[in-house]
Amino acid sequence: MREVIAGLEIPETAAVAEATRRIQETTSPLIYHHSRRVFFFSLIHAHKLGVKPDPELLYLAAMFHDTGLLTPFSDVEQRFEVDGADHARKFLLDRGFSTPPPRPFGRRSRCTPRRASPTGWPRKSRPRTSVS
Amino acid sequence: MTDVLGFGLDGLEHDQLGEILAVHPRGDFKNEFLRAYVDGLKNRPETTNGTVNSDVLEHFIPGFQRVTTVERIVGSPWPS
Repeated sequence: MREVIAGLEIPETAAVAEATRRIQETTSPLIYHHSRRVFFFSLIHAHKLGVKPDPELLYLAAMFHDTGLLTPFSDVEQRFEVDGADHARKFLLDRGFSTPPPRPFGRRSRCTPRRASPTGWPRKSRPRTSVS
Repeated sequence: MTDVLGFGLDGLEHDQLGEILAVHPRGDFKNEFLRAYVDGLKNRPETTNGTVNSDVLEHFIPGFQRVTTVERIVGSPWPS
């Protein structure tokens, strides 16, 4: 079902629905609500700045960004931000998102596997499905 | 940054912000978030060195001492 809050739409994809469930089940209401607000605020800021992030990736990044503060995500002795990024990366790769080729100077953060896009990234092998 | 530190909060439309907060209420966010922050870091304090995260441990964990970059340089195994 299409979900719109304050005029801002939650992307309707299987990965989004699964991430929402997973964050609700494995974190706390505090982190869940915070992460959802982060998505909405990010979308608002993006509109103001004239940038157009992939809404699905923005949503997934927002939902995973604090997961490293909690088990089972904080299972490696490293900065919690990197924990969250690693889990987001695995979540995306497990669902058929592609990995971008390395860029010089680390302009992308670690949690940026991305979908095939018109910008020349390789297409994924399997089709994406939407949640109805 | 907006949700934790309030960056850009002035620029958000009042009604739109109200709708978001109605669905995703902050509750006692400042205190609860800081508590979750501490809980997530306290078992691996050395991973906070050189980051904003060490502020949180320094504030909430009695006796916590961050290792500064100066201390790491002075304490390096080089003789000079």
